[in-house]
Amino acid sequence: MIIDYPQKQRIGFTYVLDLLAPASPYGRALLRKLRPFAPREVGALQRELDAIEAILSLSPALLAQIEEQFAQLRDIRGSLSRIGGALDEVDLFEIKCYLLILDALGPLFARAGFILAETLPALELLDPEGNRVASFAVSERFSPALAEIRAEKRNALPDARADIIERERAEEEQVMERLSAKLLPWKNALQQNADSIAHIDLRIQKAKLARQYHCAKPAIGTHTLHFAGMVNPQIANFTPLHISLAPGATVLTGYNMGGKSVTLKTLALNVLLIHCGFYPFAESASCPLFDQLYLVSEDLEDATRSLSSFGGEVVRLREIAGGEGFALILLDEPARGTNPAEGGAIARGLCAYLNAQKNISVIATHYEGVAARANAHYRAAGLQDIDIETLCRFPEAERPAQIARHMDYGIAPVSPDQALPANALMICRLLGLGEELMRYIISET
Amino acid sequence: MDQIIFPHIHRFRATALAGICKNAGKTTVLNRILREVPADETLALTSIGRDGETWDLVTGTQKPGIFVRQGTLLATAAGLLRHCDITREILAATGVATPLGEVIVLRALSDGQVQLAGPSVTEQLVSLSQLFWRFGASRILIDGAVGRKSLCSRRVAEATVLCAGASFGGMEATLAETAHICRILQTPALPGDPPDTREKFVLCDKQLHVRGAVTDHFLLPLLRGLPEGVTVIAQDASRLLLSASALHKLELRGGSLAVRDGITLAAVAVNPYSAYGSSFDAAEFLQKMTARVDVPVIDVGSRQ
Repeated sequence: MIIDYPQKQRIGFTYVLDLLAPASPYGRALLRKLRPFAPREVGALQRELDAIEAILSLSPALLAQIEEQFAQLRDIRGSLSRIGGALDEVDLFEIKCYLLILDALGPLFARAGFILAETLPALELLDPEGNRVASFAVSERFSPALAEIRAEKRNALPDARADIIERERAEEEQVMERLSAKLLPWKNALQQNADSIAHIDLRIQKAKLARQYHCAKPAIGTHTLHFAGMVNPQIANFTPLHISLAPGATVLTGYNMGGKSVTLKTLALNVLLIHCGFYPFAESASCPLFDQLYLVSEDLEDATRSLSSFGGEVVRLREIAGGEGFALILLDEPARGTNPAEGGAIARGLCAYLNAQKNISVIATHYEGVAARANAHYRAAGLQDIDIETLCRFPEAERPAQIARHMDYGIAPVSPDQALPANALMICRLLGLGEELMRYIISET
Repeated sequence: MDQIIFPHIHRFRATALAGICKNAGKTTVLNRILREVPADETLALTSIGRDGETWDLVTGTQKPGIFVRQGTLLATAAGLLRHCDITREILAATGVATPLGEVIVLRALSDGQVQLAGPSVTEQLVSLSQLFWRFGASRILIDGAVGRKSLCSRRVAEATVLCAGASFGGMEATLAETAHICRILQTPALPGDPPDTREKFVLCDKQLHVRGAVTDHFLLPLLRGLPEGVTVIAQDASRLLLSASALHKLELRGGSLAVRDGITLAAVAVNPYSAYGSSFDAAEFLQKMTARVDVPVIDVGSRQ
């Protein structure tokens, strides 16, 4: 699934990633290159979600112990890649520390049901005394010759010292070379374990996020896209959304300021999260796997393309029409930037076109007659429990907040021919357009 | 061995060495201390990574090496390990990066020469000190920087030994510079938290709290507007970059300096030999220095 970085940022995806704090450098590196699973990787995505489910059944205390070990890891992939070649004493120190942490993780992983490749013989190689202390010296245990040279060094006269140190260094290099060669059979296992730790670390973070926000495991690979109780973690007191989307076009209408754009972004966010192996922010979810996710919205258009907002939109629509594979297409008020007669025609035509396709499309619009060309119509509930007279009694400065307080951001399915809500004039008045200007506007309606 | 420096520093857990200039004789003093420390102590040793001097350290032949005993703890850059001839045990990698590689903590398993380049940032030195204590150090020595930008935080080292050598220039200039640096390093401590402000300075109750450096350029234009008897307060002595004449002008108005984080100047070590040829008369230099500063003055070079 393809979605570019500015879009990821605007739909809140980077916000969600920032909520994760992997304990290990390997987990942090994996998080930085996180990418969505493609439809053909449905098996892998399912395994990822199953793994998170399994982690959610583990005790937080056990996970905390595992994370404590993870936090002590350093990124030593450089040293690991040199195994078999020239390793210096700092490399060997790093590898030994890593092996000690793997050793400590062994029993914890066994309790958690996580798998690590066996590396104990490698630890025994670097810790022949079995002290299990996180330090490393090219010890005399590795070479009887070294023991002799060092005994000489201790009693050396100043003149002889340089020569002895030369021999000590040469013998140490040989020892390190031999250790490097003996570690070679374990190189793969050591690198694999770093990869495994990265994935486990990231899954633990995903599981913690799911627990914190009461996210549900999604069903994937379904025919329709369905969310119940879907929220946006970036917005406090978000009204949970319930929505079912079948292939074809669904139209979303509703008041100005009623949350249509936020609904589309929240939908995009949660679909992207599922594709990246997260539990979505919802009480339940089922989601087909898409090849493409398109979110076309004027405020997402890239100003650097030096096209007008309408021009930019047309370019995006051209991309969508020429796109391949199964797509989720989210259009926020298409053609709103052009003249209403043509704009309405474009929106209706788009809707009819998209409704005839197997992709899942959602079109938020104010234009008449668009919903009649879709196979479903949702409407944002709008202002509830308050009438315009009450609102007008608030000082002007407080009205935007009052509108937000009484706006029901929930959406509900309605019939395709349901009339469009007409509240633009009311919003104009509430937000303080002058009386004279309002009179002119009203005389035109 | 006669103990000529150790008695002045033995009561401090951590001591830093500073020099008034390059080649002031810091390494000679360090080696002397290393020999004077009783054998039952576990010394921990590091050096501030000095950008300008780093390559001298690696390539220079005129600089004496540092000789440590078996059991000494060291922090130095990974790239300098091959210039150390001790047998050693790697104890920790600190994560502090230097141009010569990451700073590594090790234990000397034999006597030998070492090359040191450790962390240079106060916070990093504080973390390193904690590591040293954890590995059983009984005393920390830090080969510090040149000039007044030395370590002046108690959190790193309670005491400083200032090294003054003929390499600075003429004798009178050397004496004057040393006396001035001594005064700065001995600035009395006035503990307390800095005012919570983003301003460069705040004046309240005859106290001028300054964020960052106190330079001539900063202080002199302000001087007329300050109340008589003002105390100029900086974080620590490394921020006090005033010249002797500017300090004198402050004092003429009854003003004084203070720091929030003060250290003890334990001694001045003099070195009458210049790396650049002309040297001082050792006895005269020692005697004149003793007259100019009010801390013990020791001639390390001449008594070896």
